[in-house]
Amino acid sequence: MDFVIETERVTGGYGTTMVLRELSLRVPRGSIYGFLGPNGAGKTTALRMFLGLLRPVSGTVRLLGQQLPSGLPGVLRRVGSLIEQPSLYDHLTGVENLEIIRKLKGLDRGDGGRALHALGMERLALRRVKGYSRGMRQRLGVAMAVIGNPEVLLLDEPMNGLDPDGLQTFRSLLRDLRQEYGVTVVLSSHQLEEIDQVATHIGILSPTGDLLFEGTREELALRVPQQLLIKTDRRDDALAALENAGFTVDSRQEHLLIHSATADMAREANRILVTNGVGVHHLSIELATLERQFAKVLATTKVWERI
Amino acid sequence: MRTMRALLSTEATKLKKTATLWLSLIVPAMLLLLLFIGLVDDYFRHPIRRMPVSAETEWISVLARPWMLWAHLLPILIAVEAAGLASPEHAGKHWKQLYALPIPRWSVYVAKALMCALLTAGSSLFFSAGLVALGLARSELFHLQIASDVPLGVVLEVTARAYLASWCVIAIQTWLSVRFSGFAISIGTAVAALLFSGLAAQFGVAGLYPWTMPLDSLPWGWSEAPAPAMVSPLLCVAVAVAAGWHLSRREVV
Repeated sequence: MDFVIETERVTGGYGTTMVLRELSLRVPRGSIYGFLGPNGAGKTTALRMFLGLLRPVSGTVRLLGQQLPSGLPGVLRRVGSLIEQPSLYDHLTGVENLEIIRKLKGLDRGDGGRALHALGMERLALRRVKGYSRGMRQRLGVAMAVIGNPEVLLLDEPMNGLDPDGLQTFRSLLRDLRQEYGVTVVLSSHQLEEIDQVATHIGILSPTGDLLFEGTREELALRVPQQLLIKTDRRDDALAALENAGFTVDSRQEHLLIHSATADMAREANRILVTNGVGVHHLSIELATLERQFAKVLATTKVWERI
Repeated sequence: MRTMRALLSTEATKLKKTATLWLSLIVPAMLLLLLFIGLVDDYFRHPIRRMPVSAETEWISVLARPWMLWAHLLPILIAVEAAGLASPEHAGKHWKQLYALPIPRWSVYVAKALMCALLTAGSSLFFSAGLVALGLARSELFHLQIASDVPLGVVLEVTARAYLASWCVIAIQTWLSVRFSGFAISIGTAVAALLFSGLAAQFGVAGLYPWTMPLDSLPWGWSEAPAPAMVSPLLCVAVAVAAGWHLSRREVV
């Protein structure tokens, strides 16, 4: 498999504070790589290292096959990035801000227009950035990152402040970039439900900067078993009947959940409920959400760390 | 070359509607205004002051003191302009974005230094043109009849010498401004350095001390030699190489 970013035993941080510890990850070409981790885990630090903004104390970083920092700055021609909040010149218009990036990347005049069009910002971009809302700033920041269709996009919290329409546009843009142009996207965010909708691969960092998991969505799902979701007309009776039959039921929400469920268990639970005269409205086996998968991976690690 | 052209073009875009751009005109304009007020005051106090002397002497009296004053001020103006040119990057935390683009890091420094040099050239030319206008006004007010003897060659030479002699300060102040955010360190350094000007003159090294080089390059300066105008660009290159090396190695936090 072809990887656009590869790190090998990268350790580094800020000054004497080491944020990442022997990070070895690989981002496959053409993937949307969701980069997850709690606050302070080192997601932004890692993205900065991928761009050569920070140098690791030890280990190697390869970006598009070029080892950093020797491949800099040439390799950055094929990379677009948005690290933390967008860096915008408030006294200039959106178009002028985009033009600065376009000129410095040596792109054609039309590339700026295409990036604005992709983010639905043609008219708004004529206004001074000083008057922009947070969401508009974010959109412009994304436009500045995607200008010229880079091979790799590194986006740190790009969905912050986007309204539902903006989120929708952003999601479609990422999918289009991947499907039409084969762009690889590394996406760090706290909005797990958003990453859930677009990511093809996931990397999870521990609070201490270790890579806990890396793989496809399917591989992550295998780590966290599916759950059986049950909605009935008599919740308490259903709960009692299932518990009497030996099921461990999660009743913290309005519906009932049976974790680590199989098809046989679903059939059995349904039979018990019907036998007990409970009307079943809804019964389905569902994959765990990314949020639950993320929590599960982190929780597993806590146990390891205690050991 | 293409990168430098793009960088200079983007620096020019960033300068639009900024105080930094206006300051490069306002500072010489204020000084010229003060000189004009002095001229008018002189006229009202001593309308028939003295017998006219030679045109050359009159023009030297028009140019010498103001230019010495300007040469004194130049390092402070350069400090303000250099800090102003770097302030948008510091304010918006733009370094991470700039350094994530396919351009060498040192080229960002060089572009800012060149832009500072351009602004300084603009200010110096504006000031010189203003002084010529003041000389013409003086000729008219006091009936000196020196209007036809404008020493353009001297004006251009003085402007060029002081300007070239300021390059070293431009390189140093740009380095400081790119390295440190805010105006305090940049201007503080310039003010502190100027305080030591007298000492540099006393020890006979005014022609090698970056902050006194513009003053020392004038024909009416201490050494009366054009040496600073030649030494300063050489020192500027040395400082720029060191600054480029240093800034290229810095991590962007």
